[in-house]
Amino acid sequence: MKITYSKIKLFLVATLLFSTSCESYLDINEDPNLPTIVPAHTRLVGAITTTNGASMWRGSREVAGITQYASTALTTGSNRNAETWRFTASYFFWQNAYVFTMPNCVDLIVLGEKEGNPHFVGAGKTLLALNYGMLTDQYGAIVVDDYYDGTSQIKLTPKFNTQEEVYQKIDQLLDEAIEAFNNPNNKVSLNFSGGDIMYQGNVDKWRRLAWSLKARYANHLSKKGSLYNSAKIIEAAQNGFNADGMDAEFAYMAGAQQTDENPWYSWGGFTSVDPVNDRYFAWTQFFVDLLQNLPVTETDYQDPRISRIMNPAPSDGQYRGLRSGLGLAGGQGGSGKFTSVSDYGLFKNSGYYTKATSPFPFITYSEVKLIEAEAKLRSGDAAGALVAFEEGVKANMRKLGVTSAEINAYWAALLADGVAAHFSNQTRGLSHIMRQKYITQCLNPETWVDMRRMDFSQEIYGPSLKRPENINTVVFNANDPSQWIQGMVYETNEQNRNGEQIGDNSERYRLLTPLWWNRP
Amino acid sequence: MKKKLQCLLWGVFFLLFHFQSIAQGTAVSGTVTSAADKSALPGVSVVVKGKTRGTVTDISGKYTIEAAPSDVLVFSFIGMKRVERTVGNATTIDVMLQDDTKSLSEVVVTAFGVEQEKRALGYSVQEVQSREITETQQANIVNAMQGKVAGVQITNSGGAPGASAIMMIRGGTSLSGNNQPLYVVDGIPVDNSTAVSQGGLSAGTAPASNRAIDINPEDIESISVLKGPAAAALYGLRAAEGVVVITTKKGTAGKAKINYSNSFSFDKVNRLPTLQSEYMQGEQGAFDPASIGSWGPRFESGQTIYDNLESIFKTAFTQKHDVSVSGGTERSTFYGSASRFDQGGIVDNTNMERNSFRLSADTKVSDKLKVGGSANYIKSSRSYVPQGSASGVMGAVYWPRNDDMRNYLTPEGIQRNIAVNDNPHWSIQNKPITSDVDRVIAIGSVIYDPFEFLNVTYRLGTDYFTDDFKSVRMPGTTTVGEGKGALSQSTTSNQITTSTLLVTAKKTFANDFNTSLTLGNNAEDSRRQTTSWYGRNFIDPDFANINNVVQTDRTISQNVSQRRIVGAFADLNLDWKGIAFVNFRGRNDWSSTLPVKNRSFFYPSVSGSLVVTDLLEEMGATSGGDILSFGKIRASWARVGKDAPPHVLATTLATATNSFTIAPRGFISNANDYYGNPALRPEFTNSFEIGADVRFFRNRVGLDVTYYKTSTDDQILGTRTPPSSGSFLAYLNGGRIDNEGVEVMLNMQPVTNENFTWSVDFNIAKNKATVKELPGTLDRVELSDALVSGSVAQGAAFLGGSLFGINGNVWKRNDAGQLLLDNNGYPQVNSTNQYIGDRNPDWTGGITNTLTYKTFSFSFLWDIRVGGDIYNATENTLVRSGLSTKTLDRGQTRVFEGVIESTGEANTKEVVLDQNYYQTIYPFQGYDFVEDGSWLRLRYITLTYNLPTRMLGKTPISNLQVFGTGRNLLLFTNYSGVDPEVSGSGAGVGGSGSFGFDNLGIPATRGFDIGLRLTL
Repeated sequence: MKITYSKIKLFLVATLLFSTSCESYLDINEDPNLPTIVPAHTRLVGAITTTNGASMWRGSREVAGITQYASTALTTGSNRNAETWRFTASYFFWQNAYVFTMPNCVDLIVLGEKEGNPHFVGAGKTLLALNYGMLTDQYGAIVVDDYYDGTSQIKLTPKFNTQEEVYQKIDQLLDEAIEAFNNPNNKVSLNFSGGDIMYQGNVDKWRRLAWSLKARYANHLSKKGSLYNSAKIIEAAQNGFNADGMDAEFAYMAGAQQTDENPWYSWGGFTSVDPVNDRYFAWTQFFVDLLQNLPVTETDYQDPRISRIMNPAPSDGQYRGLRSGLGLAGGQGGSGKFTSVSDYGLFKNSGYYTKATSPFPFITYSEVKLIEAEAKLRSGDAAGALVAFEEGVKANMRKLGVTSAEINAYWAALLADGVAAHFSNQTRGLSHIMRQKYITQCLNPETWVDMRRMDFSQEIYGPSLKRPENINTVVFNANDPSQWIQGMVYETNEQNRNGEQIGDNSERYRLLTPLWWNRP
Repeated sequence: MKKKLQCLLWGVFFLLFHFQSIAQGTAVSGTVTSAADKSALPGVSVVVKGKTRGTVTDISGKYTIEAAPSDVLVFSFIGMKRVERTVGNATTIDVMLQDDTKSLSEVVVTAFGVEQEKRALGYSVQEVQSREITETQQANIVNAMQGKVAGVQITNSGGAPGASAIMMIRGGTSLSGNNQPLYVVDGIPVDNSTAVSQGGLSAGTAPASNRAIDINPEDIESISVLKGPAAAALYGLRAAEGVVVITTKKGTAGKAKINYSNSFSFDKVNRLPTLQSEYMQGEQGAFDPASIGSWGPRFESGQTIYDNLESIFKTAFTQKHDVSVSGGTERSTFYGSASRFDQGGIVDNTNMERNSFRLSADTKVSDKLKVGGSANYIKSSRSYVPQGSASGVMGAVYWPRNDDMRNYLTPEGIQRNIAVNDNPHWSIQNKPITSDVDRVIAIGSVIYDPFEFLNVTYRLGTDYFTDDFKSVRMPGTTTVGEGKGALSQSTTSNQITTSTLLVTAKKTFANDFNTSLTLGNNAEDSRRQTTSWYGRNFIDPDFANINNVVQTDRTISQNVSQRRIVGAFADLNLDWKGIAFVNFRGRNDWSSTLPVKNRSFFYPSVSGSLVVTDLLEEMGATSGGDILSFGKIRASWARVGKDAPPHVLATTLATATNSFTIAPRGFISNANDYYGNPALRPEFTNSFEIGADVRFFRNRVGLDVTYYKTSTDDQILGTRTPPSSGSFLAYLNGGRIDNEGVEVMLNMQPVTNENFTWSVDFNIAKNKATVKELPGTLDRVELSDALVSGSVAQGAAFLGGSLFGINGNVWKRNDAGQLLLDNNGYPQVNSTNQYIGDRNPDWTGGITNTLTYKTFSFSFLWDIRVGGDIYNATENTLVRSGLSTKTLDRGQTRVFEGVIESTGEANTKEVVLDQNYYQTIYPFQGYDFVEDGSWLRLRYITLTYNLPTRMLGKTPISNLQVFGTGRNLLLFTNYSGVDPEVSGSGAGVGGSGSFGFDNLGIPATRGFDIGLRLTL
């Protein structure tokens, strides 16, 4: 019996211990494998990298085919779908922005506010505005108000905002970002743990980035009558980047993981042993022509940037490009001549934009000056426009490493060709500005916005701009050359899971219907 | 408040130990014998009715028990009819028990090792006995139950040794979570998980075993299947899908007995798809020795056509040896067993070995205190090969038949393959997968009876195993990036520890009303830790080891998952004269996986039964009619809660994306993980069940019918969300699944006489699982782990439709259902998948016939499945490779009925059914690959012969039995492919699982066994 009693006592002690530790016994649910919250300064780098290598990359991977920067070699297979406008609900820019990228921007805002670090709020809002901008310019109506806010539960059927509302929201976010960058009460520097890979903690540059983006998105409204305000654009542009070395970009890295390299160099579809299997094989003849002819007059003049962007053909040292939709078999510009691989400088690893460590700029000083030029031109200030234009062109040339002698020669040639006089005519002036923007924004999806705003006009882009061959005739009328691609299809996951909000998502409707800013 | 109360329960229970016992009356003794052969029956339970006091008979059938004259003694023994005797003035009570095999035993084990009278149960429980388990000759105890239990659907995932088996009771209640029942051994929950994506390999490539495979079937005395939540409520939330209660063999008092049994088995592949033999290797009709496709010219007469698919199969040999020793004294008993199981595979380098040692012992410390324990050590080692893709074992479905696939090495000794796939014969030799499990299940129990009316039982058990997994791809593989060799390894440790305390009080009022109240406390701690590593580019090409790759070629990761549950419950039984029974149960659980404010939840159940025949007799209306010998009706309502998976309340951060997105260089929101939900609530299943158990002609015909309906709503659902929500996946509460079904069991003994008996057990069940609600505007919940090769179809639950749907590629159609054709007149593939089939069978059933003649016994089981679609992804692959007989009309032309999408005009264009059509258009419509998976199969047939005792003469052998068994010898099905018992990605897939997907797995086998059993 004695033994029993001592056993009982033991049990009682155990029971008491259990009672007191009952609550903590169950407190084991914190994730043991991955953190769920880290400080804002360790989240900034991820917000920047994903905005570039997830969101913008997937928003340009196929669009570079639409804008005829580059072309694929094969006439079969799926690589050719982009340049022939065969877009379906399997276009995935949407998820790369909404899932891979933007939660990081929103988290930055929430963490910055919680930590009392407004500069992170500003960085988060700037990057979020940029992502919304890139999205709405491809889809029109997008989810903004019902999107993940970092604090409440995610919404299962988010409502879509009209593009007009999205543009207001972008401008508002950028205003708030500027205000946040102006806030002197910031505790932790943006580059505290080395995460500010764009500006190394220089808040002035961040503020100028926000202003530059304000200029870009206000400038998109050129068809919107009273909503278009050239004075505001000029003001924003002048508060934006004002010197070289401010471009919103970071260098990709070589020698580490493959996904640290620039996507146009390797992991974006450029790892094939045989380059004909790469996503893009060569630059297009359209781009080559832009770099070899001056606007308006089409005078032959080889832009010195051609050798910084492209490689000449190994066979004979000439710069050649393909005709979109015809592949290598179509030959140079669709002429049927020059159909071997060695007749073309390859797209990948060819120059400034497609090396392993190439940056993939969000927005540049050059673009801002060209935006200013457009706004001034539209406001009737041709002289002012020309000044901004000159700086925009030269800034890009400097960036690409063109020598001063070459720059001066190029500018002299433009002057000699009548650029100053051309600026007194809006269409001709725009032709200069847009063709320079096309060159300076190489591979950037912003080019598609410009081309749509310019109605894919040959008056603007020259006679070389033609719809692709082997066009997607299920949607596009083969006999109507004025019919161009206007937007993208929402992706299948959104359609299946949020179908009631999405509206008409047929390819015919989505690819053919101009976005809000492209309608008068 | 509730939490505090629950915590204090412990204290209260143990205070009860302080009471002293009281006198119990006089000693009654006697002998219990079998009515059939007058032999003494050891191990018969003798208890005083309404009290916890009891004993068991010794080896000579004798017992002694203290009892008062008013007491009633209850004699019960598994497989025999129960007998009750009032003590009165007698000091000796001898009892003869009659066999009761025809109506199953009257006592079943329900919760926590407690035996309950079957007549008292208000819900359906079905029991499978030791002999029925072992005679199936199945290594996996889950498979041993196939066809025997109404309403239980068991699907083995293929013919590889150690392949997992899925068990689903009454359909499924969860869209994304686990739908398999809880497994309990001697009152302690054990792990029956099936690992998915071990070593980072996809679920379909290397499907793991379900861990119940570690349990030695020879150690099992009986299995009770508790089908509904009513039966399961006492086990708590993990029992929401039902419980499989396994009771192991125990020693009995008397001379030690030694049993030895063995079996030797031979297996072959059961069924293979038919391949075309008209066209040889090539492209677009022209011969091309570099092509993997069979799109070349016709074979010329006399040309050799190789049976490459058959070349990978051989006859498998399996042997099994089991030894057990049992015995004991009146105070102590023991049982020990050792088992070796060595199963060969029908494919080279596949096998499964299981070595098991088990020891259990019980001893009475005093009249009031009994302690017991058991320990089981198991080592399961499995070797297998990759499957589910072109480079796996079934890659032969690609191989051109003019080429002899068996020549897998070039003269230089490197792999001889075609195009980008590994030669399956090379894969079998050079891509081994192994899994080594060491497992210990240890249980200790203390049973204390301080008073006649009170029983206290405490049980502590743990189930611990480690699993070392290794998958190697030797240098020379065509796997991208692994040409210089690669290996994926993981080591998992998994432990479930359970503590259970039960306090039971019994009291009889006014002689006729018996009550019993059990209060219980239960705490369960489970933890799983997996460390995985990967390395590639072997420095020494022949040495497959992580140390044989440079540091930069190694990656490592770790995953920990932990869950704790504490429960407190009460179980109140009331019965009136053993005629009417009512049971109330309530349980509160506290789970670590839910937010603190939602952590505690309560659920009740109520059930009742009425023995109508006894009631009529009691009322004097009848007196034990010859036609209707027994009739009982029962009903129950129950609710059971369920918690969330561990660690899903917060969104995690990650530092990696994928191979086609930038490396983030820092922490980003984890797009590959579920969005965390800090507001999850427990989900609940409500169930209603009614049934009747009637027996006729002195129990020679018994019929048991059950109807049930369950509804699970506010599910904790891991689902896909629109990307614009900010996540692909999120956990949330929502969605409702209803299950409704009928189960009928009929058993008959058409013939019973001294030399010959014939009994028939027939069961049939129908279940319909319907998705009633889904959150948001979701119209389906897809299962990516049940995605078949080529991503042409996957399992999915459809709103308003089946939980077990097939979501597949279809061709583009307009609203009127007409095909929308491209400008050339070919069909186009729709960008989204659609519902194309339902994997849920209409009916499942089994018929077991057992005939005994003198000492011969002959038993066979017909397993029936009616309906239930199968997606034949193997055939889909064959179409693409050009080996399908469906491609024999290649080159013919056809005008598809439909409209040209771009013009809207009716199609008149003739198109050629060419290679391009069969590779890029035809495989991307699912309808032609959805087939009816109905079957009728002779699951097993077994003949046993007991040598007459006189023949054993003076040998030490007291019993010798020899047997022969055939498994799967007959299979009738219209399914065109392999044996339709398939499950593409194995049992590890959550939600509706991957059964019904035939996806290049090792097909099921058929075979036969011979063996003997002897007792010393």
